[in-house]
Amino acid sequence: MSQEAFTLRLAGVRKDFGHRRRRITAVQPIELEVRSDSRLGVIGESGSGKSTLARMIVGLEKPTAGTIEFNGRPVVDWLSSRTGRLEYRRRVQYVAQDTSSSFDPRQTLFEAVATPLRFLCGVTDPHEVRSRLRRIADELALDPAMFGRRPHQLSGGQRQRFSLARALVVEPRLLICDEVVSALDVSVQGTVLNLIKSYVSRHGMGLVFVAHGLPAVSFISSELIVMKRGAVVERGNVAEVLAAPSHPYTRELLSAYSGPDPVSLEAAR
Amino acid sequence: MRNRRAPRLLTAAAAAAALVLAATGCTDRAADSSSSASAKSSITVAIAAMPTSYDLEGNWAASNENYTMWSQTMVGLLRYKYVEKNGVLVQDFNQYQGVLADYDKPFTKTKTADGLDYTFHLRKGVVSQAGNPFTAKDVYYSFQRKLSVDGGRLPQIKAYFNSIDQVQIVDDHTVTFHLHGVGNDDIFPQMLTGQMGRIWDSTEMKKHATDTDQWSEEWAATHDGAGFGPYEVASKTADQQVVLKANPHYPLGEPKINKITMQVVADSGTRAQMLSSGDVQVAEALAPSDQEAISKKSGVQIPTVEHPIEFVDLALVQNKAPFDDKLVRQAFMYSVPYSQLIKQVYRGLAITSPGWLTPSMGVPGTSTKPAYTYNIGKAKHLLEEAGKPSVDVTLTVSNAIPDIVDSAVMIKSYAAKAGFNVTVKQLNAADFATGRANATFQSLLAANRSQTQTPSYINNFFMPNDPSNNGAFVPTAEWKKLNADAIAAGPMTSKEAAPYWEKVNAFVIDDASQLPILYRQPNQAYSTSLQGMSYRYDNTVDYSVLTPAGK
Amino acid sequence: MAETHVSAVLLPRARAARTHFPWGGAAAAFLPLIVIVLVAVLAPLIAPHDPEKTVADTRLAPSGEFWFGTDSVGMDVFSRVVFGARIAVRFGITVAVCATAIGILVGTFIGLSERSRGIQSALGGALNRVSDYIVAIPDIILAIVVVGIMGASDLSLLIAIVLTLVQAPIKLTRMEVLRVRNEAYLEAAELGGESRARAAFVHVIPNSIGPAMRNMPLIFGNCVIILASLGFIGVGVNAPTPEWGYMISSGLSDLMLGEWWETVFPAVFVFLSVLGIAYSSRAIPRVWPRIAAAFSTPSKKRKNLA
Repeated sequence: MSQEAFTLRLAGVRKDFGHRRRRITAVQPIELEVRSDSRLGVIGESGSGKSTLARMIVGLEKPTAGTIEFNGRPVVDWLSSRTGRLEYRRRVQYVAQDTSSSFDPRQTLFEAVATPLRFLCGVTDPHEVRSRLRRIADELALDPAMFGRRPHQLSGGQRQRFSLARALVVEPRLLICDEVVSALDVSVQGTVLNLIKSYVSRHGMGLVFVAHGLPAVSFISSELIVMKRGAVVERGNVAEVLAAPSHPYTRELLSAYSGPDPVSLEAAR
Repeated sequence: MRNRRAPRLLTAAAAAAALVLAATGCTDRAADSSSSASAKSSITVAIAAMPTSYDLEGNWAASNENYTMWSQTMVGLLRYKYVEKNGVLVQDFNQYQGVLADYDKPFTKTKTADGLDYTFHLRKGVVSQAGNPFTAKDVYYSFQRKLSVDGGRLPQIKAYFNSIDQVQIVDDHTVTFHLHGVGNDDIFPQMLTGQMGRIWDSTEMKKHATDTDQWSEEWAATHDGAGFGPYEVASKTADQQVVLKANPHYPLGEPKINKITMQVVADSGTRAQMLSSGDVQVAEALAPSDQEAISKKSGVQIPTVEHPIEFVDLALVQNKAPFDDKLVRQAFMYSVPYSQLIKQVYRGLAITSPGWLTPSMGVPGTSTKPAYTYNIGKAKHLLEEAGKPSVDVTLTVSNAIPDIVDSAVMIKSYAAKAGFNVTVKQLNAADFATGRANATFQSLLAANRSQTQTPSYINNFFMPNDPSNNGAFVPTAEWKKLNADAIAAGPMTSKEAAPYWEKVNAFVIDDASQLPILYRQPNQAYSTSLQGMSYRYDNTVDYSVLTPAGK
Repeated sequence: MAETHVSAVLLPRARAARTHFPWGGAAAAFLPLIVIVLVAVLAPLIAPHDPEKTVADTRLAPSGEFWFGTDSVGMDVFSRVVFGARIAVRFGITVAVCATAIGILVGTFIGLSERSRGIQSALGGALNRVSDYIVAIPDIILAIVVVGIMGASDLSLLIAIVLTLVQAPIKLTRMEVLRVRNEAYLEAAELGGESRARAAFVHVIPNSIGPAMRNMPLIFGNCVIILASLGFIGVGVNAPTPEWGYMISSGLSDLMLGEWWETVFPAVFVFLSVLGIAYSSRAIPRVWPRIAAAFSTPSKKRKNLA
């Protein structure tokens, strides 16, 4: 397993939606750096641009202005060729909030999880495919029997863990999580968060964790940026920000927080 | 009853039409039982389509319904004499009765230095449908119009005239036609009796003339009322019906049936069904199988005649392979299952064909021996002789006439045994007419008739440029000589000429390029509540001679 | 999680789900189609008589010798109905399959190109508009025009009828694609390295073909009707070719006078085949993904597992 280091740098990245009159700026020009050891939490209410930011990093959206560079090479560049795109996807993976449509209803989970392995890692030998799937199932505490099922036969929490499996099976260097636990029961949230946290630290990989709830973000990340209306209003070390929020919005988030204590999440494992 | 009801439920559209008609039919039957004279004299008729033209001179369009309208609203100086045979009024094609001319002695014929003079004695006191008195001027106008407009078979009339000056008004009720260069083959009276001999009410017609339409062709195409016929159109409902009312001024007396509602029923089986259930009193244009199906039902009568003139015409085109070889043509003629066609497709409502010369033409001693019979041995032998043991043939038909299609399919089936591999090509009526006009078919099967029943008229079916017959026959010097000899031998119905006409007939049969393969019976059916079924040269029902039964 | 448990459960299921061609399911789904094709292929063995030959008197009622009676030319209706399956296959099924397949491909292309940029969008938009215009032309007239331009042949007839009937599957598929293209699994496919073409075939099409597949029996039925009407106006199948629609239309007149067998038997066969195709078209989408997956697996691997 390669433990290669990487640097992801966002310089003046802005994103507008719509045309002329109805133009909305989803993300104000932002500067950001994510490295192999980053555990970056992105927090903000819905519509704050945090998801757009995450999607721009993986290339699902194109920035209106500014550049995103991965290892010094613009992401647009990576994505412009077939091999570049496959290499980039192999290194940067993305998991979104679980919806019923996150898996093709006509495929088994085995097919869904094996597909990125085949296309991004070139693993086609059935024995190797099976051993890689076995390994990821083991790491994410998945019941391998479920690989034969179809997505509608699974609960939301199970499905979300298979989403993680689908992203992590290619052993990426950076994982972008976009509201991965928001739709899940509180009890299941803890399990999933623990899985991510331990996997990321075990593999020494980067993490960008986007959420609207403070507990999850503070539990899993070491650095934090707070976004409001497309702009970064506060950034810094998690502990420092929590201890001394400088922006009124951050203080508001902190005071509104009434969920389980991050520490109790740890205990739920 | 069961037979009658069940199918009605099956075809929704037909059922709807049938119900409407059943209602009218019921009132008719109710009227029958109360024997009200006025109700009895109105009838309902099932026709296949709406008429499309009321003027077959200016706006020619061949269809049974157009022919019916043309003969019921318009008359000429003459008609063929009706003779009753087996309950059917059959026309004797060699005797005339005056209609607008004097009934018993309509014309006198005088030989002149260079031809013939026909002097017609016109009826006095006749008024038109529009109420205008009939005079020689109307005859003059009508001939002027015939020589001026283009349509239908007018060229055959035009051939008799170099100028309108040959029509001479002697007095108000006498007209003389000065014809030049006519001999034994003169068929001028037949021409005047046929479809192109109709006389117009010139006073009414001139009212509808315009600067660009001198002969009122535009008006006449869609209107009647400028003639002397037994009926006038009372009303028309597009695509549904046309109602005729009797003309009280009709020179031969007001028709007994004073109202005819002609209802359009597109399907032959439905028309037959309606007749047998009493919803209509006459059903026109029936397929033979439909006639047969209702023939045994009570209240139905089907006219049959000794010498029908409608025929199924098989043309094997001489200038196209494989029929450019006479042996192949003869072999094909021997491969047609004549008796099967008559028995199976025409359900016995047809007779064998002696060729072109038929007894109704009046040539003494005309043979009724079939021109060809189904003889596979002979056919094979002829093909062997021609060195073509297997021949591909494309037989083209119009899909508008089911019995013609069925005949073609049956021919295909039977001719295979002789080595003919027949492809039946069905075209719609319009494409069929176009192909026929352009002479593109290799062989074709069509319904045909000779409206002028004289032996010299046969030649008209073999005109090289006649589009209606696809140039099946190239008139050779031999053919021309045979015809000329027959004409020279004497009047066409004379004993002297008869052997010569037999030779003409034998030549066409031997040539085997175009022959009637069977003559079919009239295609109508009548209710037994009527009498006076008729069989005319144009195969239409003559409603003017129809009467309620028992009167 | 014990390693033994993993291998015991994961492996067989995975193999079955991923690489085996679903013979049983496919056979059941395609059974009615197979039966019709079998009847068509074996027609000469099944039919007691030549379907284009006069074999007896005309219009005989059904009997021991002529099960379905004889028609207006004395041909055996049973033999003609059986041979009619050949025309149904040659036209009806071919048209239903071609129109549906083409409709799905074009509909998917149009659906995926909408709101995209460049040539693909322009092409998709143009196709969509052409399809809109074609919908406005009555079926029969369009067919006549095509046959008129191309000349009468089986191929031009096929193209004409496909062209008239392809519009419904295009529209139905396009609507579905517009829905499917927003589904999250398409993003997942992109992130998983699947190409757009593969995503279209593996994810978009299988999830969009339902309505078009359910429409397939309708196409078959319509094809039989159009073929019959074209035959009636003389540009379709010629007599005495045993075509069900033509048999029905030419027998209708006799039906009025009680000779029902010429019409009813071919009508029953049209009905049965429409039902059969309706069944297949509902069953095929269910087995399709597994068939597609079996085929999209590299052949080397299938060979290894065989």
